[in-house]
Amino acid sequence: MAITGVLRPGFIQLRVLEMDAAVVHYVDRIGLNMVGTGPDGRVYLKARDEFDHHSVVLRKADHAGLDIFAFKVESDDVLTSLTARVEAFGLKTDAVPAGEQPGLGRRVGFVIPSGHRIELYAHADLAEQRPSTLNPDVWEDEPHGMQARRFDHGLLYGPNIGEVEKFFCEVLDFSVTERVDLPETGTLAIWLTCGIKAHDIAFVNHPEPGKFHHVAFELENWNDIGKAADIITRYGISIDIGPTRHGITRGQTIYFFDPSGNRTETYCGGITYYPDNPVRVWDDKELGKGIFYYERALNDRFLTVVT
Amino acid sequence: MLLSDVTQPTANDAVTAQGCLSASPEAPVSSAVFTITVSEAGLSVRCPDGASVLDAFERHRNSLVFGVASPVTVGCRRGGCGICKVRITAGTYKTSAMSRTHVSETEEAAGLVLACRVYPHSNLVLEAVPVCPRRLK
Repeated sequence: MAITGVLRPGFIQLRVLEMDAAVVHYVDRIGLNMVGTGPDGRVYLKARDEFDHHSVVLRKADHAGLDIFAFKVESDDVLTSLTARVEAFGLKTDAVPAGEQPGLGRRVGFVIPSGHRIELYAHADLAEQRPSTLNPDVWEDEPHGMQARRFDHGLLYGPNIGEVEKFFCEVLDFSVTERVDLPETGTLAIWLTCGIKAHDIAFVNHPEPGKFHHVAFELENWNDIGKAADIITRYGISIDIGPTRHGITRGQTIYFFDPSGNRTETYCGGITYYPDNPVRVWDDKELGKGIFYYERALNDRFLTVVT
Repeated sequence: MLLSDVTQPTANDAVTAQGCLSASPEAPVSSAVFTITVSEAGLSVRCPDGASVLDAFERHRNSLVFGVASPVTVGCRRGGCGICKVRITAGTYKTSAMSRTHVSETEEAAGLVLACRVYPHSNLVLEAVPVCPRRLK
């Protein structure tokens, strides 16, 4: 099945307490490229192997966390039809005009039952600094920092996970690839994809709405995770956990915090999901192994610290 | 930078902390070492000038002193998650940016702060502020 409708995570807009320190974290350490600063002070970044104008937006604020998680869709017609489906589901949508973020066309935004603002858009200008397409080299400019290739996925915390699952599957045509179902309390977490990745977005059921657990950037391989760990220690970056591996998604990973306390991940590997695959299910008996396959134990900080 | 627990002044220098020191944004720092006391826990830790209160507790927790529970929980260490909230009851200090989701300006003026964003200028006395626990449902 070809990927249609919603194509992929397009950009994430995060709130940061101090912009200069945030730019050092995302550009110098994670290895994103600076695209520019907008008239309202928001900073636009992209990863080296992405074609679109930007994929990360940083906004200075007095509190940390997530402003927007946005998906790019196939076409403007798809954007129109998805907007009608979102409204038919019962969510109120709002229109963000083209150019509100440089390089992007019109966007449609709405708040899902977990309290997060999701946006859809169909058009992004090609970035000036992008991979070549005729006899392309593996990179144009030599990678730096952790050498992140792309914005990969996010994990969000909020209530009403059943409604969130229904919305993503029935309205945006996502699939659940893996899930944690606990015998007494029901669904704890879901991993969702709009394509063939292990996840494009994931949710954990949590009483506070609109919370942000992490944003992940893809690296090429396990060796690069080790190099990321070297960078984290060398520059005194606040570590969370890793290098390690998840049982869920099977991704190899390291987690660390940006200078405003937003959790960031660099990640590689993971299962390939095809739409005819059965859903992988984890229960309370092996949840430790599901979260961290090597440690095989639940970790309070990883599970409960959010912005 | 090495921190050691006052009760074990020399034994812990080689211990590797899982966290990381966050230098004060207002360097330079002196060679002064301050004492941070948690009165209700009967606990004191040492904090060199330029280190945050949370750094001091995290080094203490990572030392080889068993059986001493830290009164402060370590989260993001960067002022965002709110889990290391404490009330400073004596002493002088400066702060750096912390998320207003967790500490209002009024609270900050009353000594309610995030330990990871507090840099002592003197010995401090503080009490832990129980944070509404986040638990898996």
